[in-house]
Amino acid sequence: MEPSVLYNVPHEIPWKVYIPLYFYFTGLSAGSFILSSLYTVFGIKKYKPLAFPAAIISFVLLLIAPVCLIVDLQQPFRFWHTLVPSFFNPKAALSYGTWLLTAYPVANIIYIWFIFVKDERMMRIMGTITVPLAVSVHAYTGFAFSLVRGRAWWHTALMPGYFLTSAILSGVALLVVVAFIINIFSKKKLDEDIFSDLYNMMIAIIILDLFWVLSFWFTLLLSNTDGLASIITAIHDPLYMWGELIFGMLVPLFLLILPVTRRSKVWVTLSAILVIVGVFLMRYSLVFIGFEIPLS
Amino acid sequence: MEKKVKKWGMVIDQRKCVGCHTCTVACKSENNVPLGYWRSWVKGIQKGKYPDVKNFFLRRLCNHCDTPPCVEVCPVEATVRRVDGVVTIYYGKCIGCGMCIAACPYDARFFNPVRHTADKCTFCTHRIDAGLLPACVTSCIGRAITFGDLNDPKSEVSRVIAANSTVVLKPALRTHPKVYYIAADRDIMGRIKISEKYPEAIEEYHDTIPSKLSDYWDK
Amino acid sequence: MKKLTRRDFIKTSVILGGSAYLGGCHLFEAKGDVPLYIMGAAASDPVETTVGIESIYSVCQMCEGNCGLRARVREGTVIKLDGNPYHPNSMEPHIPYSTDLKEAIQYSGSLCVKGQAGIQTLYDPYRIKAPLKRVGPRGSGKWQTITWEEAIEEIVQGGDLFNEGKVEGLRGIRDIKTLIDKKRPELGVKANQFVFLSGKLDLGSRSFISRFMNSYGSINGETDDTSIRQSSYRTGFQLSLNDDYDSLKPDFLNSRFLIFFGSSPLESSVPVQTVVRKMMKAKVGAGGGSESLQQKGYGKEFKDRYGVLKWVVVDPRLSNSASMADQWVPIKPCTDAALALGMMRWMMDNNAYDSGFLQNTTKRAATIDEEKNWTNATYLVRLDNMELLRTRDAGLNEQGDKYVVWNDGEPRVFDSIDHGQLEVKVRINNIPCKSVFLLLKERVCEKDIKGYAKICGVEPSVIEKLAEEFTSYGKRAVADFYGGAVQHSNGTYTARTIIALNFLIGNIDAKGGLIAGGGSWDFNGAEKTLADLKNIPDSMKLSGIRIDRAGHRYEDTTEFKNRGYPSKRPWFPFASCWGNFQEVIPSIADGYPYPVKALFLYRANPSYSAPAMRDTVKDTLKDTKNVPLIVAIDSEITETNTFADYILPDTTYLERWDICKVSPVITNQTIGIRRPVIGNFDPKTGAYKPVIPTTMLMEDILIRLTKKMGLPGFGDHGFGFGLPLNTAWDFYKRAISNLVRSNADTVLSRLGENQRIEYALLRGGRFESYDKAYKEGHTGRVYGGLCQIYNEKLQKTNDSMTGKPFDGLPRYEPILDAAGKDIKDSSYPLQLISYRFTFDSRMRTAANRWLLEVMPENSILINPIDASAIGVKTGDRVKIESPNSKGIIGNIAVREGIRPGVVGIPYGFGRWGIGANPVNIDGKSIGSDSTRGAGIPLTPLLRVDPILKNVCLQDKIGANASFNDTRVRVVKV
Ligand SMILES: Nc1nc2c(c(=O)[nH]1)N[C@H]1C(S)=C(S)[C@@H](COP(=O)(O)OP(=O)(O)OC[C@H]3O[C@@H](n4cnc5c(=O)[nH]c(N)nc54)[C@H](O)[C@@H]3O)O[C@H]1N2
Ligand SMILES: Nc1nc2c(c(=O)[nH]1)N[C@H]1C(S)=C(S)[C@@H](COP(=O)(O)OP(=O)(O)OC[C@H]3O[C@@H](n4cnc5c(=O)[nH]c(N)nc54)[C@H](O)[C@@H]3O)O[C@H]1N2
Ligand code: SF4
Ligand code: SF4
Ligand code: SF4
Ligand code: SF4
Ligand code: SF4
Ligand SMILES: [Mo]
Repeated sequence: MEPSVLYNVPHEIPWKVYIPLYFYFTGLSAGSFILSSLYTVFGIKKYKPLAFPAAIISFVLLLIAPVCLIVDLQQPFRFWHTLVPSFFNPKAALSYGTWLLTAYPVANIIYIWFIFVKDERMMRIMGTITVPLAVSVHAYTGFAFSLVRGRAWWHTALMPGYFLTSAILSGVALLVVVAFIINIFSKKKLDEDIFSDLYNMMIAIIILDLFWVLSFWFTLLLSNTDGLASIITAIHDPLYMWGELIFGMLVPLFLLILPVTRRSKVWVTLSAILVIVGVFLMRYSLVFIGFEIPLS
Repeated sequence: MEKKVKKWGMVIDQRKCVGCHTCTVACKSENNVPLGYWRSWVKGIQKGKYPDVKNFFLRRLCNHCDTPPCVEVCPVEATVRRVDGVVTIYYGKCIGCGMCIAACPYDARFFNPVRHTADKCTFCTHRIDAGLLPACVTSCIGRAITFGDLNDPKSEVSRVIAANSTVVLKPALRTHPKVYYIAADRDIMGRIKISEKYPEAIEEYHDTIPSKLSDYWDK
Repeated sequence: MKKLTRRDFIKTSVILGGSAYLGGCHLFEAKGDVPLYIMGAAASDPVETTVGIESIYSVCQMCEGNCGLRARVREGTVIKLDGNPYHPNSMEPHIPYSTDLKEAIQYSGSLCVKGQAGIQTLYDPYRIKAPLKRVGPRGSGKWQTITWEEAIEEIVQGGDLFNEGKVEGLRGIRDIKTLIDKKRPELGVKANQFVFLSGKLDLGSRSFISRFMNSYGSINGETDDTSIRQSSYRTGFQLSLNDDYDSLKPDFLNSRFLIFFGSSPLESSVPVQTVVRKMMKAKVGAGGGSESLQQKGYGKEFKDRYGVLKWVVVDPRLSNSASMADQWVPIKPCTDAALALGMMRWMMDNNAYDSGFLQNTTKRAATIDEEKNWTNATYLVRLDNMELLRTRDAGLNEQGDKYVVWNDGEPRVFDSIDHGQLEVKVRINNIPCKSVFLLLKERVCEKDIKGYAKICGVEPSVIEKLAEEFTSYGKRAVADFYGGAVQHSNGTYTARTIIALNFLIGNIDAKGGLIAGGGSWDFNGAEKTLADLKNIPDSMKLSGIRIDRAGHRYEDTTEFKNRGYPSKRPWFPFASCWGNFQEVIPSIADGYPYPVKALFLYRANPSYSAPAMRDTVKDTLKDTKNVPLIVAIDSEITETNTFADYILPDTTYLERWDICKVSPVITNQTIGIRRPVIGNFDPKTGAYKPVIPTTMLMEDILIRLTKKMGLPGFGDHGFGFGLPLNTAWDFYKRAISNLVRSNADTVLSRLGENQRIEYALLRGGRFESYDKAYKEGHTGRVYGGLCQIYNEKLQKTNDSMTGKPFDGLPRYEPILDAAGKDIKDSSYPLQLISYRFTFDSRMRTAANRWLLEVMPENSILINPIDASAIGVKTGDRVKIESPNSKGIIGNIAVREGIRPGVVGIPYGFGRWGIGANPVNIDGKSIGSDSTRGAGIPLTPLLRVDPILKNVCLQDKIGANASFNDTRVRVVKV
């Protein structure tokens, strides 16, 4: 006979939707910034038209992201505590995160300024400085999760990589949407090449993402009961299964590969939107499935 | 002679725990824990088939881990481990980010809705610093809880640990809890439910023999 | 922003509540579902040793356990309750009485979960805060606030109080000369038509109410609602020992083997915390808690590891006690006597009884064997009239009425010889006789073990093993029992049968056996040197028949002479000391044996607490013709006092005086003093203002009434010329003074009178030193008397409803109605039982957020077999129906821990009074808190007696109400 619970106290989940939103926005920001850097840092000419809009997007998102974080604090007016050097906790990902979160927008705005004034050299230098910041500002959130050893769903070395990949994916997808909009409104149409490059990038990154998911599944299925419990919870979670996996990855992938839909910008943009939503749902289920598995 | 630093610890003898919840309420009263929140609680399960049935209890609180994950993640060092081993919170410093709540593997923390900070059992620091015993210890009606200095081999708590086989919760997590249990039931130490949301999966679930889980895998 | 602590919340809310009343608007400050004060707080509280913290010792009353408490008080607010380390209920060993108060602070005794939660009872926002007078018809839920002067005046003088015509006041009703009915003089005088119905009383308040009723001249005082559950237990003891001993308990620390019939010592014993502590110590070993600090003085005791106690729990439900037991015996409800008889059968078959103990005929004989008691096992009973054979009838040389035993082939006067023969069947003087033991044996052998097993649903092999084990620890085994075993129509028989089990192993007063505990000191003034509290010099003696007919024989009445059997309602000649709580309102409804003119309800709530009484209370009390004046003294507007004409706001236990004895579980002589831990007390005048200044101590209310009426024994010369009784303190000071004077051989003897009183007050009572508990292998206080296996008086008394004699021997009987007929209800397949959790404080649970929070709602406990037959699973909503009730909706909890065929519901939930529903005060609707009404109300489901129709099933000997004899049906909704 299975044990039945007479009483227990499941504690409340400390976070609200702002936290996945925050992860999501930093991810989007990092993703777009990397795209912007394709021209400015890596010198790939054809992406030049995207450099500025991508940088702007990444900056704007960065303004929203910390707001989400602060809104979720129980003591929002004490946010400055995180920046007091003597309070710095070298073991805490969040300690680094808040510094990164401060440094990155500063670097970003300078970088945007140089794009704006078209100072190619400074643009490159600032870009080179900012790319690792952008990567780490998002990767640290992955670390923040992977370092929580009590929650199997989070506690995996795959987490930062998975996070970054999906961040870039969302960045690319966002650019697809932006490019689509630019194409509609601006007189100067974008190079078709850019589009097909972005499409291919999306395909590649979705496949990489799926690879992470697969690795995730295998490790958890063959890990301890906590891992199994996580997988079962995830399977039962429609947001994860339908949202993230099916509509967030498989369907867009299918749409991107299928020649008919691939040729239509509308379909592709639609799949990019699906990807964007899917990545958010990934953040969401990542956070909350982690909490759903009771610890006692 | 130099006075040795203390290291506070607790032993809970589940053979003497009757699941009465006195510790739960004593803690609430002593520490002004708001309604709907608990620093200390008693988990209870029922196992077996009629008429061979038994209830099991597990008194829960913060473990005052020696390597506390909650301390590791706090971005402002509001949660700290004192030299005497007590893991405590500087409420004035805490920004309420919830990272420690997420990181505690024992679900021992919560947001205090009045204070708007993280909160949890403090081993009643205000009492032990005044030379008194924690509220749950003095009020336990089964005298199941022993509290004292682990660094002092003559203290009652050290002697009880020496004389009995004890276990801690989730030792594999390398948290080194300072709350020890005598005769805690295997099932109650683990998780009974996979999740609050999916009762079908829950009923079949067992900590070490995950029947339904292995079904998922076997099929 | 200034941080508010919860204590501040409490304080402000109470002050607001008080001043709001003075402003004439709200009585309750609770606005929504969650009152303000329980919002939690930002800071930890100061500790005992912090400067400015007062530690005040008093006595808990969240149950009847009377544990010593220590209140931590800061600026007039209670911030924490702990146990009193001087008090043996709260710490083991308790610290010596001579311990300095400063030193004592480092030790904290314990209080159980209910005791810990007491602050919530004190600061309950739904407490009544001013005298209320009804507006509109009774039960309309509309009230107006009045002043104390108006309340006292109107209650005493009467008049046209409600524009419904003239109502007689207490003064008018007090006619101590005229008989109620000239044709039935035994009913007594008209003053008896004033009935005082009370809930839990401690010794002091019980004496005070006695004094009040003695002074008023009515015999209808002191009906205590404890009777509802415990009276058959107590009557069982009284009929097996004597009237002074109504409860013996196991010597937990020294026992080796205990059987608990229908009680859950780890959840609902009185006091639960003490019993748990002792049992855990005896089972596992010492250590833990504040005791660990206390290694000096009782060093050896501390080191002792016990670890020897085994126990068995007989209960249809797997209680925590059963779960922690060595064995759980899931019995069929209401059949405990059959199980006990089955065990006796094995004992008889195997001669496994203490024949030496049973054969002793007198105290002298017992003393030779180093026993304290002897039995009537060898006494001869004449079979022609079932009386014990007396010397005068036996034709012995010696005349008189001494008992006769048989020895060496001849009859002997019982006190001329030490031992008698156990099994005797003789004819003496041509009278056929048998010894009590033989009668018992024949009774026991009416069925074999299989037969008993069939009745109680327990395997024969289990019964045999139980008996074998029970008899293999010498005197260090006890068969203990409580509510679950006796709250049936057969309660007293069951009690007597289980007590007889103990007699058979001779464990009474033995170390590790069934003991009388440490006892207390006299405070009432029975000793000559002390002031008499209860009785008033020169006042008339009370006479007449109580409305509940407790302590009276039907055969002595005019009614019997006129119409014989059956009586209209049952009479309860054996229920003298506890009364019969559940009979009072139905008897009022029937005007039987006489109509009642005024009813006082002091913390008594039969509508909710008595089985099947909701409708009777409503129908009876709603009609002013049944009782023209109803006054309630209570702290809440309860289910019953919602029908009162006046509700007078009483204080809580943390704001009152009392003298509190403890259960025999405590082996030291002990008495606790309850005192207000907050409020304003003026030691000069003795006046006390509680936390809510417009509430008043019950004693002060009654004093004001007596003074208005000019009753004897109260007022400026209440205790004699120049000795006033103007305040509760005047009374309790005397009580405490008596208490510290009687047998003052301890530290007290060195002190003057006032110093002694202060000494006791500062320590929360008077306590014997721990090491004095046992003397020569026995507890300090022993029963030391005759153990009555056969009760002649019981056998010679007739049941007023059937005209048949009761049975003087241990006996099993099925569930019967008032006319002695079986209750079948076979269309209801399940039997309903009730129980309590440790964190369930009966009526107080729903009004206490900390307790309610542990379990916000009760559910119906059912075995998976029954659940699958109905097709329900845990959490489903179901309807539970009984012959009494068309159905109550509730949650179901499917668990293996209950016997199939039985469903259980914990008591204390589903309230419809105390703020669960809104009421209207001074024209304004007062908010309500629906969480107080959550869950299933249990008592309205319970079986009404099919003959009497307005009362539950009950035990006609002990007067216990039946809680566990109702059959129900559970249907899916
Ligand atoms: N925690 C707590 N303790 C209390 C109180 C409280 O409110 N809360 N109240 C105090 C008071 S006033 C009283 S009277 C006592 C009552 O103390 P108990 O009589 O011990 O109280 P219950 O728990 O109601 O009943 C005991 C057990 O009897 C079982 N039972 C029911 N029917 C039968 C039966 O036919 N046969 C047998 N063998 N068992 C049966 C029930 O399942 C239950 O486990 O508790 C006192 N102690
Ligand atoms: N079905 C079922 N019914 C039962 C039982 C059961 O087990 N099952 N148990 C029965 C038993 S054993 C008992 S003892 C009764 C318990 O029932 P009660 O003894 O009636 O319950 P209490 O909680 O003592 O509350 C009694 C009254 O006291 C009031 N009160 C509380 N504190 C104070 C105070 O400080 N001052 C004043 N003046 N009033 C106060 C409350 O408002 C209430 O009106 O219930 C009985 N009913
Ligand atoms: S139990 Fe949790 S809160 Fe307590 S010290 Fe360990 S990790 Fe921190
Ligand atoms: S909630 Fe407070 S204590 Fe916890 S990690 Fe955040 S800042 Fe630290
Ligand atoms: S040590 Fe204090 S804070 Fe911790 S559980 Fe016990 S009473 Fe609560
Ligand atoms: S107070 Fe003691 S016996 Fe009661 S639940 Fe807590 S640990 Fe167990
Ligand atoms: S057992 Fe009763 S008297 Fe003792 S602390 Fe608990 S509620 Fe109070
Ligand atoms: Mo009771």
